[in-house]
Amino acid sequence: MAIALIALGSYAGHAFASCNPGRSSGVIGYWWDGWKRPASNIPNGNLGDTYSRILEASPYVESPSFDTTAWVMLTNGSGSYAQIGWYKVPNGARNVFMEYTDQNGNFHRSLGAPYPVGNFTPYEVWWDAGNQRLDFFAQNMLFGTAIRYFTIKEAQQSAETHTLDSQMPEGTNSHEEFTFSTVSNLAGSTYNFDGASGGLATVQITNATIQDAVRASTHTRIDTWDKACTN
Amino acid sequence: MHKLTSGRSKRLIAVGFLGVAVAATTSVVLLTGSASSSVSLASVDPRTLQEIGLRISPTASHSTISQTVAEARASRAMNARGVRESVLASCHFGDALPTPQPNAVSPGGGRVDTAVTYGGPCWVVSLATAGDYSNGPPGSARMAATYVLALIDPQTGQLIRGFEGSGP
Repeated sequence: MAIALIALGSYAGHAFASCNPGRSSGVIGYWWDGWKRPASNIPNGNLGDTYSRILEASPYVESPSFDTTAWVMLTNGSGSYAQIGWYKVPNGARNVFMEYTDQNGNFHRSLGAPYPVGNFTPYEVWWDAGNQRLDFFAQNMLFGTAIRYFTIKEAQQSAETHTLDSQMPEGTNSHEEFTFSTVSNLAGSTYNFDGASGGLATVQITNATIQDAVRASTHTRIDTWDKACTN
Repeated sequence: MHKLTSGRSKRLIAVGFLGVAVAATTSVVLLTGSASSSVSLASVDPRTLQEIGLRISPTASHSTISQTVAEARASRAMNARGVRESVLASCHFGDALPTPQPNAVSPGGGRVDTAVTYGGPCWVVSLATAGDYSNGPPGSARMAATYVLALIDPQTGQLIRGFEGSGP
């Protein structure tokens, strides 16, 4: 394997498209907006990869929160998963993050240098059968690997926040975009995330429709945004 | 007076050798800065380091930035609350899992021969968690982080890689 020493570093630049929604502060919880695709709705009935080019956003993250993120994920649909995307904490630091669960149910998160706000970064989780491991890609580079301890039952792509007053990424005039979103089965055949036609294969996932919005605009793109913000 | 038991003689000889060994080791430490053949963290279980694919070992490298600066950079990068311990070490991560097939390409175009890896000196800073959690997929149980680690570049002070999660 070629060893590539990448210049890494935490990015803590000025907030871009950051907006305090002005909701009640200090209300800790878990809010998400995105979509999911079960393996049962993919030809061959199995799943080995999910991919999306995600807009690098820099939303307002309220201080009692621990992070706001946007990611792609392979999961068993309950407590075991493998995901990668961007990650922002209340002090403004942004990073790429990957996260997975181990055989004991513990989670492990790894943070590395972020990609610039405003860019679209390809993020991908792939079951690498040749190497018998999960591969996590950012910008098509292998960010990390993990052993898989679960059966892959669905793909998810979502943004998430952890306090009520943290901004769901972007706003009414500029959405957080998951673009070119796909899933692939174990044979390596790739499909639109929302299915080849009709858009019936996926389910939107959200618990935040009062303050946030989520909308699938094409078979490969889903948008989320905070209703209280313009961008 | 000079007639010692065999067992006692052996113990005295062993103590003598031990003293020589300690003195020799101390000399080596003073000359190279390397205190031992291994580096460990009291605040992080070795099984966790293995799980995340991080290996640390002694280094004779010098740091441009101070330990205090490294700890401050680590705290900010990881949004942490306090330092548990830190050590300057040789750090290695990124290729701990099975030997990759160099030409493997994922359906999305990701290539395994462009891995983000690191091998070199770093400040390993173990931090107190600021109450980080993981939620996993929507609907699953929330898990609290029990460890936070930051690898800081001893020349630039930048975050090389951060790790946090739950574990033994």
